[in-house]
Amino acid sequence: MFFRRKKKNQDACPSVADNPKGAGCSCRQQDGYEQVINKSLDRRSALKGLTAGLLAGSSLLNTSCSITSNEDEKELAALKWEEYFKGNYKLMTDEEKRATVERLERMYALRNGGKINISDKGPVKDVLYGYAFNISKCRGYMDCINACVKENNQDRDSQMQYIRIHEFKKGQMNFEMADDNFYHEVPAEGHFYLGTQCFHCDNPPCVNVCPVEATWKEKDGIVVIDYDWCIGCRYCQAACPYDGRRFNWSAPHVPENEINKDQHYLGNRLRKKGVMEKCTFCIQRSRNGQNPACVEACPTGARIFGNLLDPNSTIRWVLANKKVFRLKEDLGTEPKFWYFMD
Amino acid sequence: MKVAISLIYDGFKEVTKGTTAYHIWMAVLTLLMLFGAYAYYQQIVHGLAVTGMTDRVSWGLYISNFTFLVGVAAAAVMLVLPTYILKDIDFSQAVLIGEGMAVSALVMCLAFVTVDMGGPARLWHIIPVIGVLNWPNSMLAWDVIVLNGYLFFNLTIPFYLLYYHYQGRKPREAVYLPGVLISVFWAVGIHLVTAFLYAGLPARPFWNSALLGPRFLASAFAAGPALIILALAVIRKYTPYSIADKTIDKIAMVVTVAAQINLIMLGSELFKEFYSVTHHSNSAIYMFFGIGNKNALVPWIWTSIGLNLLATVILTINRLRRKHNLLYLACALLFVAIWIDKGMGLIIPGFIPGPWGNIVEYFPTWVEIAVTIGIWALGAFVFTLLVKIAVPIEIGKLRYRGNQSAG
Amino acid sequence: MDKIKIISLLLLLGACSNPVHHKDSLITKLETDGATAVGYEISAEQYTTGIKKVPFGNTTNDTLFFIPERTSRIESFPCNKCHIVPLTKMAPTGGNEKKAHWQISLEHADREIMDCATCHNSDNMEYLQAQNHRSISFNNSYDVCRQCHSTQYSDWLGGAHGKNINVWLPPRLAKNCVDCHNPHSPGLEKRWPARLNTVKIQELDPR
Repeated sequence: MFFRRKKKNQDACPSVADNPKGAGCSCRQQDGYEQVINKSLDRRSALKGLTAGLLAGSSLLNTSCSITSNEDEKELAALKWEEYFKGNYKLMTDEEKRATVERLERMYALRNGGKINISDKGPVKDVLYGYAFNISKCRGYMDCINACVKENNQDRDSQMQYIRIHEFKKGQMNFEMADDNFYHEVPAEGHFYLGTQCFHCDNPPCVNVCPVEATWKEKDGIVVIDYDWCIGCRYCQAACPYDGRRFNWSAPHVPENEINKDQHYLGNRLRKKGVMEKCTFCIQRSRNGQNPACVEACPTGARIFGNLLDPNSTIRWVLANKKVFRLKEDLGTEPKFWYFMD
Repeated sequence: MKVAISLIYDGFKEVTKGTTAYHIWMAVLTLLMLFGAYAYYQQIVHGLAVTGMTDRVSWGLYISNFTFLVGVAAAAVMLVLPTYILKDIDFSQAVLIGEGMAVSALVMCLAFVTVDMGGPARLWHIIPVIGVLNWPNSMLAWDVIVLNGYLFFNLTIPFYLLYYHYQGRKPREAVYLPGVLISVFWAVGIHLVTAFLYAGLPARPFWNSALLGPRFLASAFAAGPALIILALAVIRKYTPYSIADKTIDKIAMVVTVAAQINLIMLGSELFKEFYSVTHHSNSAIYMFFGIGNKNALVPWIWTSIGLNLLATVILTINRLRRKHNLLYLACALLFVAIWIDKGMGLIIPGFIPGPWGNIVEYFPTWVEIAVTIGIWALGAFVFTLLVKIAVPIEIGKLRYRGNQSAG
Repeated sequence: MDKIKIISLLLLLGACSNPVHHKDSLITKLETDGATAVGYEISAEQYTTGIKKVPFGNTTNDTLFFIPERTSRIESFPCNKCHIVPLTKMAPTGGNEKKAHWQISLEHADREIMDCATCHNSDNMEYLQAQNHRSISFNNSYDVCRQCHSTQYSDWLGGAHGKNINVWLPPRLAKNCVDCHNPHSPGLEKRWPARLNTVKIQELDPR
């Protein structure tokens, strides 16, 4: 049947996606300098691996104990019922927020047998997030996208990605001539690179158009979506001038062992079929003071993140000392995402 | 109450009997609806991934048809206005038919919007009080209100009239006339609001035009009454309901003027897009000429332009328009032309090129096409039922007999 | 009749108009709302606890931020485990024995301009050195780099060049120059992207 066209084989490993032409594997000889760096990294990642192994082991135990229990089925059905009739997250009291988060955690435990952590942490006082992107530095490595997909539990089947990296031929900045679908070693001779994602506009056109207020701008400037309130009309996608929004055309799928279990209700928690999603500046990280995954993963330092309200922040230094620009500023959307050059 | 039950009973009896042709027609529609329902079931199970829509072209056939049908629904006003307010008797024969068409078109509109939703089960979120309706910010919230309001008027007014005619009583003007008055403005409202839904998005320069609203109205007042003429022609032929030539000629006049205005507006749009080409013209360039090897819409839009011109010429020349067979042909051509132009020709190029200039084409899948056909069948089904009940009441064949049988 | 029509249209339009656009520009807002230093109610210390930090030591400034401590992460430090005599006296005796740093090849500027001793203090291997032969600790290697790369240095101070480690929340912990650039070969290499665009993946692997 025709609709099979888009259905993906879930067992096949996304080999092309994860490792095109052995990318990332550094095959040249390591010199003394690199050994130094790797020493500390190795210890850390070994520890991480060990913890992950232990967690996986314990969750396996959990699953085997509770999988066929009738009680669990009943509880799950009851929880589903309550979840279906809950209100819009934006209008919930703190207790209601806590309650839905606990229900979602419990539902995951009943379904998959593991434990996830869903945060309902609100905005930090006196914080307005801003982002700057250095187009002299970006080299199109796409490490940001890799990190983003893993951090935010994006659908692996449809290869959903929030970030797009556009390759421009030097001498012009015309997006129509740019290519975000390049397939060669980077950086290509005579080209420069520019990344786009949700710009978290101060005056977001997507928020206005939503018929059910399922998307809104938080106090810290992050434009978020309540995945459980969204009805999937995709008006926001039509209204976004920056291609910032993505839709779950089919049920999203993340392999159990790849799920990032540190989640936020408005961020990277597991989504469902037929709802919108997008970059949230990794709300589950940024509200704890951490950098978003793309900022952390960028090997060139092209991505700068921080608090726009803090005059001593690096983002404010960039705005004050570099010649910055934003995309489609004429639309009055006031993106909190600036570009600059060295 | 007794009268209402009797009306439902009689109505049910009325719609279940008829000629063989009638039964075949209804059977075919039912089959098409079932096929559409099967396709929609596939869509429910697998998600909208079974459609041709993607993150780059995120609205397709469903929203195209929705937009077009809002116009058809709005066009019923062209018949209501003169009948009730100007007391033009020629139109009154057609007005119940027009309102029936508006109801069917609205049913289709709501169905198209519903099948386009990613989470139809969560649609209750849009109901005020138990959900959240983002009014007045979201134009979609406006659209929900005006469409449902319009549906309400177009159901209650004809029902009231039929209900009284059914009992052989004369309906009271004080009751229905205010509703009629409101619905006249409401009809303009539904179509303007739907146009603003698109025109209010600076993200899509192809839609972000002040002309979009007026153009919607002009094309609607061409396509809607054109469809009514065709329906009247069928009703005239297959039912005892007599419709004067004069009525059809008057509606044809409406179609003609609207089609001419529509062409003028099309001309100004083309001038703006192609006299000084900016990168905002890329959608139009893509639609009319294709960009690179991407040219899926080119044959469609030229067909539309050709049919539109031909139909308008036939309508404009008095001698040709008065020949009814030619008139019906022109109406059919015009209807198809505007369906293409306002459906696929408006919605799809809005997304092509995308916000970053990417040209990703859209091709509907069989699921989308099947669901679309199913919904059109649903509309035809509803319209047939309404006409089947309304006609015998209007010609006095179907009357309330409750008093006699009770006495 | 026309009048009513026009009035109703105007009413409709009036209700649609949405007063959200352009109160103040974002930058104006930042200048007013973000004029004074903020006291944060949260701390992100747990995300950098594993990293040994040293204050960025510029004698003319107060400490602006922290950088990762380096010497404890150099495998063969201290160097006097081998370099017990000055470099000049360590000339190889024969032609055959393996040199200690055989795997290092210097691809930094011109060989005419730079050699090992441009940055390494050949009299005291525990230190790097500046052009004026002042000794510089491995922890402060940026002082070596900034002798030539002064614009990069000032961008790094401000935060436009380089990377902050793990957190955006103060106190700032920034990578040192050598945390990203191999000083022996500081350029970044050409390579395949770590991941391909959605469309490209589907083109290559149409399942």
